[in-house]
Amino acid sequence: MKTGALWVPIIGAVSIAIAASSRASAAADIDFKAVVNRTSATTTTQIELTLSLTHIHDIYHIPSPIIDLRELEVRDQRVNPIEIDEQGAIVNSWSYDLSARRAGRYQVGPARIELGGKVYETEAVTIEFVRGSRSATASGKKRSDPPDEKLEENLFIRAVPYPQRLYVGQQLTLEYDLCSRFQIRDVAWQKLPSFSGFWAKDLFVAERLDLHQEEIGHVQFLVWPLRRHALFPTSSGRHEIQPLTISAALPRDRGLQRRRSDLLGSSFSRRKQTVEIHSPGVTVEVLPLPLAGRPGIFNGAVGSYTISASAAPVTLPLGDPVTMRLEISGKGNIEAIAAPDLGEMLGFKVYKPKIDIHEESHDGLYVGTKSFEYILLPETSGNLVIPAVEYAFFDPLAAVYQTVRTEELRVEIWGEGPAIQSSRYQLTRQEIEELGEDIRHIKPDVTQLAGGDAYLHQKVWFWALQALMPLAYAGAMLFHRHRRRLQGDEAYARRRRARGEGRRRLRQAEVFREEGDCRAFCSEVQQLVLAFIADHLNRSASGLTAHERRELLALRGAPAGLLRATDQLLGRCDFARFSSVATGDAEMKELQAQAEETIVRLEEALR
Amino acid sequence: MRAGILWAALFSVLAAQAEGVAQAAAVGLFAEANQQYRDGAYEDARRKYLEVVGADVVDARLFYNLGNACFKSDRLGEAILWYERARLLSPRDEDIGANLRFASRIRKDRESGVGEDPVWRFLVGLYELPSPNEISVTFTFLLSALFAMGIRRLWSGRRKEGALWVSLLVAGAVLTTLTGLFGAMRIHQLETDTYAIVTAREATARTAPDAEETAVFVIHEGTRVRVDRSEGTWLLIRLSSGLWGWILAENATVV
Repeated sequence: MKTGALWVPIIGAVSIAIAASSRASAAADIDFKAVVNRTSATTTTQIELTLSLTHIHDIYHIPSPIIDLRELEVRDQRVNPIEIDEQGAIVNSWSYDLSARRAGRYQVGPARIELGGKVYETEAVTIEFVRGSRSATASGKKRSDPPDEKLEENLFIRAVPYPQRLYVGQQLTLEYDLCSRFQIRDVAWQKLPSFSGFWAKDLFVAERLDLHQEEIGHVQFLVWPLRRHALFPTSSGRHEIQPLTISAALPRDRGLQRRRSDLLGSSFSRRKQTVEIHSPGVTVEVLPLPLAGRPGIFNGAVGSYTISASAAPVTLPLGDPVTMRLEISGKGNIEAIAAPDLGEMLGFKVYKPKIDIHEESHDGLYVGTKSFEYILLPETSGNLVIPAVEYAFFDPLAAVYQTVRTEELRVEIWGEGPAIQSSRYQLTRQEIEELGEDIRHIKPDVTQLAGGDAYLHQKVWFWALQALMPLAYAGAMLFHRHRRRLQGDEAYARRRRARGEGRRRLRQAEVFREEGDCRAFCSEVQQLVLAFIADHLNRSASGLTAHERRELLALRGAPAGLLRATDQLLGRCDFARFSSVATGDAEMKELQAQAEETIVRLEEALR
Repeated sequence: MRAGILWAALFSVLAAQAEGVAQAAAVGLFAEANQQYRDGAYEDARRKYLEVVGADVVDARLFYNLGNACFKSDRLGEAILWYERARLLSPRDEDIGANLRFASRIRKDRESGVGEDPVWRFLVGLYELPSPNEISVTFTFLLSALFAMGIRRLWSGRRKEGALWVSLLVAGAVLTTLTGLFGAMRIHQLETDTYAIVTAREATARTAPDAEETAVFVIHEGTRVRVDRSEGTWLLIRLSSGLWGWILAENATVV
């Protein structure tokens, strides 16, 4: 009896505990929430409120939820078909089409539902009705259309940077998602950010749109991931990333679909409108790497790394190469990792390493391995040590510098070989034989070396030569024109010839003068003056009378004094030619001077 | 006037004589340096070649031999610098190209993306095939030929030329224009694009021209970098991968 009396409270307590725990478990598995298809509408349109009850275990009886909607008009109220969500949970839902007579902000809910003696409540949702006109509806828009000015609230690109404050070289993950409440198509990249100031890598670029649903500010959206980038800033300061722009086609008669199934439906209006969508610009603050605690061997690596080294073979004859492989693995910008300083490799000649990179993204972070494969050529025999290699990096999460190191490696070299000259770049005979290549020999001695400016275009004479050619052509053209005129224009030709002819006759007259032949001299001077005038007037010298000569010269503007002087000169020549008294040398000289002066004056007058 | 001409002639003769003496001295030094190189005294040969360079000699053969002497003296950066300078003067010289490639293979830093695409490599090779001087000479020859054709036409006195003459004139004009444009492009590039070779064993590039600024990468001897600008004793350099940073000017020499 005593024992039975003892068991009753124990069993009761256990039952209560089990009931309580199952209830608690049931409570944890039940989710009751309220969402609206939009948060604002005109008084002529409606807002759809959906109350969803999500539960894992089957519930025998689910009552209708209780919600106070007295301030609003309930145009329609329905119980939606039961759905199974992606996690396999059961979803019961109730929808209400709400409208308002007066513009204003309204608080909807919280809605309540009682299950198994426990009351579940949604959060209150605030919606807004603005004054709307019927004309929009009449023009073909559905009653549930969102106002056009609210397009950006229903279709936008979300840019999510993480973290927003980071160190130089640390990875910044930047995600772009397209959030829409419309069906969209024909999405195309219009402008991609340049990521200036970053070492950029693509983690993900959408080739086709894969969507999921997401609740953003109590409103259900379709979300398409567009791009995801890993960015490594190369300098400190505030960095601004320009917006991303895409274009997309929307149905022209778009309306927020009344049901979620409609949103996911494939129907798409043939009448479509293409819009451009811009992401917001992103600003991040990049901190410089701290100077405090920076190891001397640090060469800019940021992230979290490990280092390992191996060598093969470890026993070899002198003259054979050893391959040493260094591997740096971890999180960070693997591609930017510089080769670690090997320090002094006593007894080895070290060749430039062969570099191999393997990298991948893991949970949005770049991870990978960079390997450096060195060929080491032992320069002496014996037990040689490849010293430990240290590598320093800055860990941005712990904000400290860390140094990792490899183990020392030992290599046994046996045998004798030719002495090898230790040099960093110059190749030894043995290395040249192994590589099968060396630099080519020097050029032989020369008899002349080029000097001065290296390039012709830097020399003045080069440009002078270029200018000379068009000048020469212009000269040739002028000369050609002159020659053609000489051939075609007799007056011009005679005029051009007159001076030369005059000079020739003057020289001939001088010869006569020196010979003392005064008649021939006077005749030559007379002919010279008459021919000069006739050539300038384009007349025959023999047929030109004195009267005609005076008249024509006067017409050409010769002054009266010049006419008199010409007449006087010709008269003196006539007199001397037929006079019985010979003209003296002094007089001939005077006549010659007078003739020269007259010719010059006539040339000026007839020009 | 006559005295002026006489003085000018005398001056020209003296200048030519002086140039001849300098030329003979440079040729002699060059031969001495070559002999030192053959004897294995590479450092001495390098110094001798540099003396010739100091005598205002600009010759691809001198630069090439100097590059060899630098290479053999374990100065990879300087060797690449002189090979690059030689290549600018004589782009089709096989020896220069071979030694430049060989020296570039030995240097530590590999230029990313350079010389990987065969089409791009072919196009760059085609672009750099003629030297600026060869383009200048070709342009001058074509221009002279064009003007000579024009003058010949004036002299011939023909009213109408034959189809062959017209074709030649048009082809000459097009060729001259293209050569002129190509030459202008090359000269512009030569005058504006500044490249340098890292001559120090290694140089640390920083985010700003200050030794206290953050190091962004390290470049090694022989690496060819583009110089964007300079500030004090610092050069803003850009690698072929697009990475940029400030290095001390003493660590690199402009080609």
